[in-house]
Amino acid sequence: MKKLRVTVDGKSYDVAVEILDEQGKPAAFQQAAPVLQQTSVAPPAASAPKPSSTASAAGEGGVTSPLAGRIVSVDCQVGQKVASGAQLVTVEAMKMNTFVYAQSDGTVASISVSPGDAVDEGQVLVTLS
Amino acid sequence: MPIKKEFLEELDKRRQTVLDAGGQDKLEARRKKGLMTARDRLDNLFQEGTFMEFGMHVQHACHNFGMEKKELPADGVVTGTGYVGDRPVAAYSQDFTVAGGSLGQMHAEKICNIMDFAQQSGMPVVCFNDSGGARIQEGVESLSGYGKVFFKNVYLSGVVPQIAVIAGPCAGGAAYSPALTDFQIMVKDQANMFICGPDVILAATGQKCTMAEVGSAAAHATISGNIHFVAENDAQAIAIVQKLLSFIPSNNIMDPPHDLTQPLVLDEDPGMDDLVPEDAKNPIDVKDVIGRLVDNADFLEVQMDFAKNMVVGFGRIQGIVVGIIANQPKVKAGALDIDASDKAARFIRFCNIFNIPIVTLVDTGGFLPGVAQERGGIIRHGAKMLFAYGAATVPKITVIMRKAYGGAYLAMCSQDLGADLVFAWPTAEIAVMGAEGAVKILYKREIDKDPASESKLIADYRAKFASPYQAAGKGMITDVIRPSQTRAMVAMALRNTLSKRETRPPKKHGNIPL
Repeated sequence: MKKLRVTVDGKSYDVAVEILDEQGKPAAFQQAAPVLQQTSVAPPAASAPKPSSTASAAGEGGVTSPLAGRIVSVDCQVGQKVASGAQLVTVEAMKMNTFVYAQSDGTVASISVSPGDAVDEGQVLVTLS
Repeated sequence: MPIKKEFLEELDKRRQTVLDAGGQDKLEARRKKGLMTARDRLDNLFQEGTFMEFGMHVQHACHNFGMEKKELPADGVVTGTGYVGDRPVAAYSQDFTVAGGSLGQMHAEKICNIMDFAQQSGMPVVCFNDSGGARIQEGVESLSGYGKVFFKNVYLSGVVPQIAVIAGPCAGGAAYSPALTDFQIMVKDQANMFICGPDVILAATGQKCTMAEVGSAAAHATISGNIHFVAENDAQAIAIVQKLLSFIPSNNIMDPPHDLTQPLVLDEDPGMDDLVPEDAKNPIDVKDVIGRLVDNADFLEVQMDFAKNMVVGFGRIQGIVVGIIANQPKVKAGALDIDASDKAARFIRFCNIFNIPIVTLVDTGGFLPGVAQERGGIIRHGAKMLFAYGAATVPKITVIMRKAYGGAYLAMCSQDLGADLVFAWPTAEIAVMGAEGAVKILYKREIDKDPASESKLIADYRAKFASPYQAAGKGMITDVIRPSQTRAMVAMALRNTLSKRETRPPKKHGNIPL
């Protein structure tokens, strides 16, 4: 166990760093690293949240609204190339803005909503190709 | 005169037979596939050399179908105690190499026996489930065995923590034993858990589905909410168990492992101010807030893939172990829905049982509107959260960061629900409802006459009521603080409530709306 002092934003933290032995088994019980950091789970495709009955099915490249609300702004244009994680649309619901992001790289093929529109959970907002 | 050699040889031979389990070849085959054996799991969980085995020489009790001629080492389950860190922990580990880890009468008796010992000694129970199911040859005795294990799970619930690792198949009724424990960890790919699998579902209903959809770790972590953690492999599952144990006490009459050796530090953290977006409508990532609030940004998130609009988990704030319950405005606008309520309620109840103070971080616009929510019973589910907070007697510290509207304000551990201290940031909006909705009701006639006046009325309402000061003026807030003071204030509040004692009228138990 090695002790280090790390300064973040002018605030210093005393951190204990643990050296793992060859078997990868912790040398001591106290663990400094969060054990869950790397775990990621993708829900099985068929069990993804069902779009409500009025919503059109999310086809390939369809970016859907995560909740029912009202469109505040469309933050992309047809033909625009977007990277995964780019902000596409802003939906307002529950007094809060929810940003809808591209899940993959692509080009904006179509935009099916405009500011002021009411949208349902699961409704396609933008399609990417 | 030393002991006769034969005695020792006989013991060694018997021991080796049990250690060989279903055969060295089978054990090696598992290891080659990257799976731990039943004993590997316990050896990795416990400090080296501390495992004390219970019932190594137990023989199975089956006298039919030729089973009487078979030997089932340890009857397919390894039970005992060992040390995790400096604390004794009881554990059992089903051995898939012995009759498929099937549960027979003696197998069940061994499990019940170690659980009794754990309860009487006040130590946590960790179990590794890896079993093909009931030992059919033993008939109703096997069935009865499950019933006895379930009963023990319930008996121990609330007395000592129980943690289940689903490390292999866990089918049918067997799934109810881990379901009755406090935390379930599932190992990705190698484990599955279901009551009726795809074959039975197809035969009974004609519905086609895959194991991934109904029984996988991913399905349970994201959709069903049946489990709390997903592990990549056995080693990570064990690391999660150890990490969990580092936050929780050994039993319900002990305090959690606080670290009170460091003096209280009351420095401000300007970084917390920087996290608050200028626009009140833009979401804050509550995990960034939690990262700055807990020591060394060390937060063990529970059910991280389920109902992500609610974040719950364990951390320490200046050494004091806390359970954190927080709205996540980045997901579903932080609204409370059925799953989020269930997730929070269960976690709150765990904290209360094991004397873990609760810190609640509030930023929610309210309960999620929708037909599915109403028909799904949001009243009954949301009530679980109200009930859990109201019934909790551990220290309850609430920080209202931004939005706290209507019933959701109450449900997120308001002073009225029994919070010991409530801090609000200057950005807090505590009101009975949002400005838009309130103005429509309050000024209906004026707006009908002059629709242009609506936006000004909304702005006026927001300025007057969407702040912490109306609630603070009525004494519902302990203090309005800068975000940068949060860690210091919560840490001090936790120290001040460490010896909190609250007694309620004696009763069997309350009637939580299930």
